[in-house]
Amino acid sequence: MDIFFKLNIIVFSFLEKSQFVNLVFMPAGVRLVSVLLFNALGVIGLFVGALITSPIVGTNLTEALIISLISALNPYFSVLITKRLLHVDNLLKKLHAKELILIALFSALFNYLSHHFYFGLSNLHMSWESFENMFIGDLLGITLILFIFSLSLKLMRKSKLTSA
Amino acid sequence: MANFKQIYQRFLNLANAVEELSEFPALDPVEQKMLALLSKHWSSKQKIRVVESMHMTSDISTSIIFRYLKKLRQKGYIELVVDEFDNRVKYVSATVLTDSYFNKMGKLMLKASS
Repeated sequence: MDIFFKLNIIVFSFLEKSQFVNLVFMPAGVRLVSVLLFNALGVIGLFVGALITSPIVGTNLTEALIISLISALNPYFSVLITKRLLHVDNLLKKLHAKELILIALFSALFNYLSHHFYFGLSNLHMSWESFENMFIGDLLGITLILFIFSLSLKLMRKSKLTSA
Repeated sequence: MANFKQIYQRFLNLANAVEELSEFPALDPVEQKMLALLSKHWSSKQKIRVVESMHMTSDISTSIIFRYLKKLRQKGYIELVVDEFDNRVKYVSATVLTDSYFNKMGKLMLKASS
């Protein structure tokens, strides 16, 4: 998680819109994959990861804790809801490309709405444009991580074939 | 305690779903064989009816062929075209995806032989 967060800062720093918003946010994809694979167990890892990577400047401990908790719980709830709505079982046997796209879309939307709700509740100023950018960033981040996932599967197969 | 068996099963299913997102939906060996058999008719510009396609090989039973035709249709590799004079007759036709799949396979063969 930390690696992807730092990688995101290095590679996509030119797309950063604010302290919390980037137009390509790879950790969103890592969060989604973690929750899909590890369910509730992934939430603990994500929470710790988000806390470690919280920005030191401009946030206090309570804010960092809450934002980390939102970041960890968001993908869990969005996956839980979409899995139930799309009738995807616990072992993901009924997960296909269409369901995966819908889960990714809902996850980005859910993250966007919950952050908006929290920032509104705690009177932290953030523009509508920032939230839209957050949605786009999450969606592009998820797409990129799924692409990397697919690419690594192909490379793994290729290396197995060449070593055989 | 984490259930590693379940995690691995989820990983396999997620990997399948991710692969479906790629350019060409994954084809298993039977589906590949079916496409190869159908391509014989398509390459000679012959129309092949669904019923005919179910008897195009004796290696696979008709019921299994029919099941695989449905799978290929779901994956976008074939489409069923209704006859213009008789609604009961349906032809198995190649799609744009099939054409690009054969093109890619041809290129890969060329690359492998060079």
